[in-house]
Amino acid sequence: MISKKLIFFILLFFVSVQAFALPKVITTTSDLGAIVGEIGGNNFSVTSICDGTRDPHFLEAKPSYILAVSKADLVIANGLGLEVGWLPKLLTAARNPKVTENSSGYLEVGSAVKVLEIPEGPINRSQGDVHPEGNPHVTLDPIRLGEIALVIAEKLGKIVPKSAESFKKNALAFQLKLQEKTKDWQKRIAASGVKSVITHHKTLTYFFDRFGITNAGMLEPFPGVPPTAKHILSVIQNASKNNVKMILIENYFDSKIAEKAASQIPNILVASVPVAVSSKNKTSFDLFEELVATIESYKKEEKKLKEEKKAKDQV
Amino acid sequence: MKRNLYKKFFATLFFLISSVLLNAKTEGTGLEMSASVDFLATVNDPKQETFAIREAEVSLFAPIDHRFHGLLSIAAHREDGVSMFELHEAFIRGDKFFSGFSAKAGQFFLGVGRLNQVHRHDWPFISPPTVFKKYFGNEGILDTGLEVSYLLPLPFYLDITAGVTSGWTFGHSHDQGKQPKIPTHYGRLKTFIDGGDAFGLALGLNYIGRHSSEGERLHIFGLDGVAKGEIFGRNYLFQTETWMRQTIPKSGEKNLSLGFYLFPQMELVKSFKLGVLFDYYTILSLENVLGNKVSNSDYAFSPTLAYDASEFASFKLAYKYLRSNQPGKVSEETHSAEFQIVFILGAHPAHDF
Ligand SMILES: [Zn+2]
Repeated sequence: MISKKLIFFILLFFVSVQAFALPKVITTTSDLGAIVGEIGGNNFSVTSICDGTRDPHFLEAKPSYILAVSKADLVIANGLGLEVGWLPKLLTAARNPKVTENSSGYLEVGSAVKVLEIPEGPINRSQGDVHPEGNPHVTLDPIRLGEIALVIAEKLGKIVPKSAESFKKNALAFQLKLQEKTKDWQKRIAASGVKSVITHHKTLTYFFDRFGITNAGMLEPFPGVPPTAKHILSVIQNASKNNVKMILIENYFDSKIAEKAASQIPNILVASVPVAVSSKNKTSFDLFEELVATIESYKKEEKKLKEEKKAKDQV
Repeated sequence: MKRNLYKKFFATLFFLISSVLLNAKTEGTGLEMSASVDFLATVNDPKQETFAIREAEVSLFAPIDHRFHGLLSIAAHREDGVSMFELHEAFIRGDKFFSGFSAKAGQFFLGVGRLNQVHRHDWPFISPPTVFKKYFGNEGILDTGLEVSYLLPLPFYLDITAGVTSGWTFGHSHDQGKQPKIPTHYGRLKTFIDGGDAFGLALGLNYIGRHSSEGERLHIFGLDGVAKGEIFGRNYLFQTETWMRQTIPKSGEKNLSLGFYLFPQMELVKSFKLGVLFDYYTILSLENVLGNKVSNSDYAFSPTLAYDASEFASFKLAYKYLRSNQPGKVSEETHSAEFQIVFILGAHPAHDF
């Protein structure tokens, strides 16, 4: 008798756990995870695989990620080839019919917005890891991020239909806030006087495109190929000749060599910057705010650099 | 003679098909092709030097339809001074039946252990450890059959694999073998412990069995472990496998042996890695005429320096010291140096952890 009761309670427990379990959403990047949190509220349990301080191009397909994908109700990927090195492996190994590439539980957001730098003509590996579908780093433009939020809201609405309207409302509010903020960020960047910047990889293309900054060059010799110290030095020397004032290094790349090289050259500033939402910059607003503030800081730093130079000359 | 003709015919056919495929419209089919070349130079003290392509492999893979995908690969091995093409893997795999489950049928490397499931050109060292070579041959056990795998719906990672293959032959062989009394059957349990960026550990527990046509019973038990992670900003790898084999002939003494290898590897600077392979093998059941246990061992020690120019080109240099202690004999020592170049053309699917 007791055992029957026990079984009943165990079953009840599992059934209730199942019933109260929130739909599981797995996002490849933390930026996408932050959007789900922003518009989905407490309706979902969200896990981001790439945590925002790691290079999303290269990630080990760990069995713990496979386990997470195997239990997912929805997988949201950036797409445009960003996760090509690890996501297909996770999807194959997870064997979850709900989230395979052609199923309704799989969403790629990159192709929903206007893509930049789609290569013209044939590409091959001698050019490095060129993204054949164009630059995938779309979430670094606040305007495109707003559009992506709407796409995600629609998908979330299909999973929890009764809240579809509220997701849409949240996404629109999120988009509006980004649009408003963008105006302010545009003004601040224009006032900073920074017009030309070097990065490690073409990660900030969409951000620069939005804020009128030219990406004057990359530290990596080819996409995805790690640079040598010699290459970095030559890029920085060239840059300073062409009046580039800032080198922004994505925080998952090493900035030491660039900092050392730049210290030899006057009026050039190296800064390590976040390029994804992380535990430090919890929302997309925090992330953009830090990027804008770093660019703004050039004026202050320039003054300091000039004074330092003056002091040096006097000695 | 017949066998050679068959192989030549097969190789020609394969190339014909591949070239037709590459010219034909394969757009929208998802067909991907990859070729890998494994080039090996060995200098042995005092005997010989070799300098040859150890293996060249061509693979085609694609979704077959909305439910299955497939792979076909052929490989040229160098044997007795001639490169011979032979069918390597050819299987159909499905993973859309129910959540966590997959099955494959055809010819494939058995889903056991670590090295057996990784193509030789993707190994972190150059040559197989002694125990692997003795039990599975130079590159692993390849056979025809059916294998199923299931990722259990648990809060932690536990994947269970089971398979049955023809078992006409076991290990590297060039004849068709003989029908076994009980075909090759095997199982594996794999789990994973995630310690964040610093540490990830995959563990496997394996069993393989077979009863040969002569009635000899074979049992192989194995434990494998792979740890990877980052300490002080550098990647490291620790890989190990321990195997124990028991063969029980229809009449006569049973044979029990054991071997393991350890391979710690550390990234020195970007793209350069240094590892040391230590391997050990012993026959536990060896007895002298009086029936007393006799100690014996083979062990090897091999520092290996690897340079990965990219994901598609890698160079390895190794020194290998081998020592064999057999009863009634003077210990035998060999020294050798190995240099390997591996390059990959075309697609290269992501590795397992
Ligand atoms: Zn990129």
